[in-house]
Amino acid sequence: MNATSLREALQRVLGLIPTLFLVSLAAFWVLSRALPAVRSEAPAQGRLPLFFNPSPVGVGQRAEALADAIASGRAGSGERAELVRLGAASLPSLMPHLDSLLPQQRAKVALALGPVALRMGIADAEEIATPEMAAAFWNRYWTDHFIDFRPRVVERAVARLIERPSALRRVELRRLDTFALPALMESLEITADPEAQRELLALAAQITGRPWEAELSPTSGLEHERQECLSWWSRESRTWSSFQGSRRLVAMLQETQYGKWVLGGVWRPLGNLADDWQLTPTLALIAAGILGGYFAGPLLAAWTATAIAGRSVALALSLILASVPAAAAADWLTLGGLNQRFLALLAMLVLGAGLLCLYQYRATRDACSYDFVQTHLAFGASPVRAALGALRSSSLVSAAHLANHGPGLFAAACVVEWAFDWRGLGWLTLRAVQQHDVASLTWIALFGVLLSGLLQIMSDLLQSRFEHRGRSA
Amino acid sequence: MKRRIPSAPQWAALFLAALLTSSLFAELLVGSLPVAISVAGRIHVLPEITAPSLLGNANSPLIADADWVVWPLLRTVSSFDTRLEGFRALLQWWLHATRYALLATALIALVSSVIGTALGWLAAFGPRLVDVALRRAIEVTGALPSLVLVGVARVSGAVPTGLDVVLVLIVLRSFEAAQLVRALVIPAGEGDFVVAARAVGGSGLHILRWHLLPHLVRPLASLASTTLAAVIALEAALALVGLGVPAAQSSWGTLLIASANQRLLGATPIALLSVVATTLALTVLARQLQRDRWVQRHHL
Repeated sequence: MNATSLREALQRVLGLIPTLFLVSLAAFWVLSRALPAVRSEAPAQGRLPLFFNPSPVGVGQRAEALADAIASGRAGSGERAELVRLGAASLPSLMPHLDSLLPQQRAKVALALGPVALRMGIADAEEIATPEMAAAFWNRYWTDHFIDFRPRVVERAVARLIERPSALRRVELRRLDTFALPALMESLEITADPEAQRELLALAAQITGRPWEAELSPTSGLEHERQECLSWWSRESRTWSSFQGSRRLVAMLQETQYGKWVLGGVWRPLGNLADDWQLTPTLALIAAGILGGYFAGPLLAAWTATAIAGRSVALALSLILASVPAAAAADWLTLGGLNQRFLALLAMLVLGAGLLCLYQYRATRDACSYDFVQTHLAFGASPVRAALGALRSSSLVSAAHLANHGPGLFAAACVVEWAFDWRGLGWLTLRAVQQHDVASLTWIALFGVLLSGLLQIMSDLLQSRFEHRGRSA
Repeated sequence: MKRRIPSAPQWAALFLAALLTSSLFAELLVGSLPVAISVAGRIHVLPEITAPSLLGNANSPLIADADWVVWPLLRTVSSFDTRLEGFRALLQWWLHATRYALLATALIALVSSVIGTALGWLAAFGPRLVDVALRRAIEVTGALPSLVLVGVARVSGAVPTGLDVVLVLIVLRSFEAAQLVRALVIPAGEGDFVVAARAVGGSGLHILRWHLLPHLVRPLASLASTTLAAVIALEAALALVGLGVPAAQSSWGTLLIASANQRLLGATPIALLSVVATTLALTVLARQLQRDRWVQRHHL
């Protein structure tokens, strides 16, 4: 393998990047259209545009709309709960907006904000018991504390908490409520200190009411909760974001279903199904399939070379193997009393043989006609030995077919995993189809294209290597 | 006089003809409803298909009051017995499954060959953009397992069940055929006979029809011969996952999985033998094209 081949291979690997991007767009579009009923993402995400959001709505606009609804008496408990969920992040926009409302309307909105004040720990229930009292409280609070609601203040408070955690610093951040979430999450993403991560998670859990602090004692639990929290934030961050200036331009792409899928995938590529599977079964099964295919071919060729009607027998055998449906073979093998893993691998050996052996057989037959193989036979070598001697030459064709058979082998692995309930990537794929999981299916499609592209490059490299050796021989 | 024994291709053709004929006339052979019925002076032929709402089931009072009734050769109790109990129920299921398998295979093979030839021709001799687009499409579609594509189509409900397998396989096989055709016509198009035909004023269509198409028949037929196995494999896989066709639209794949689930040892060999034998017959016929005079005449 020379430098030119490697350079070409590298160029082709780089060429895969735009292909993967286009495939992700196409797959996401097709799958979102084909599977509209159930989505794995949060319900709010379903309302987002697919690829481009010309007017992303920030927390301020959302809070103002909710305040108007509450003020006019049109709002139900859902709207009030949503305003509480938005929390203090809405105050910088909401408080000036309250001035435009009539006193009675302002009082209604202030009363609806009561649970936020309790969560922040800035008021007792008695202080905000009536609409008038609540209005007076919020007016006073905002006059005294509006200066605290600046990103720089929050960043400093988070940095102080990470540096030296204390009850006072926790209270300081708790009083900023959801306004502190972006800074908390940013720090959680970059900090490697477990103690700081624990503090940040606990605070985020307190503010949002999410159960991230449930399993914080072991280190593995902490990392899991951190991943969960960041994954949740990547999906939900728009709820507490205000899109202004350059952030608005970014939000036009980010605040879309596709944008959410990309961001969500960074933390948790396969969504809710991520914990239920392993890659090992799929790799083991595909390896068994390749083994079955590439070894059955030379053996079949060697055996049929000595038979009277060798060619027809080989063709019939390989056709019979190829025409047996993978699902039926796997399903019937599950009834066997032997070890289920062994039976699954056996099923893949047989299916791989059916899929690949005809190519390997034909290549071996051709290779057997070469002079050096004929010489071996003339000197008394057995057909099996001759076929194995020609394996390097015959593998040329098989190597060229390696990429073409990847999806076939993966499909066979899917059904075998499903039949034997061996939870690999194939099982996960079929599960995602059943659950209409657009996000997982798009990642799987990308994985398939990437794998196929890499296999193609690898088979070309192998081909050039074999050809080189053939010439040397 | 020495009796001539039919050759393997003749046996294959006979076998396929028998399968096709019996499955096309499945309603005449076995069923629970009449083949023809005269009600109040009006004759209904194959009421199960032509007037599905007329009779409903075999216990319809119209049957008792009919002027005359023609029954199938073998009568069954219900329209479809999913438990596959008894020879008649199994035969009925098998005949309908055979019809679906053969018609789906024929449709996929025919349509994908036509589309594939046109696409491959365009990629080889058309604008470079088509060639690049085709190669990218082949890369992408070739990387996705057909099982996943059919699964998505089936759970989406956008395409009628059964037709989704046909449509997905038409798309995938068209790209495969296009790739094959492109690889074959590029070297063939540089042959002396094509240059000569072009020199004497032969049009592109003329050259395709008389000089290039004969080179494509065998590889395309070879590709088509594996279509049936692909259809059945997909149906069986979908049935295993729980996305199989309903009982009324039986298929060999569903039959294989149903027989495994219900431990029906008798049904499995029938379905398995049907798939293997039909694939073998199709392959034998495809290989016969190698010796076909029409192909040989043009295979320079």
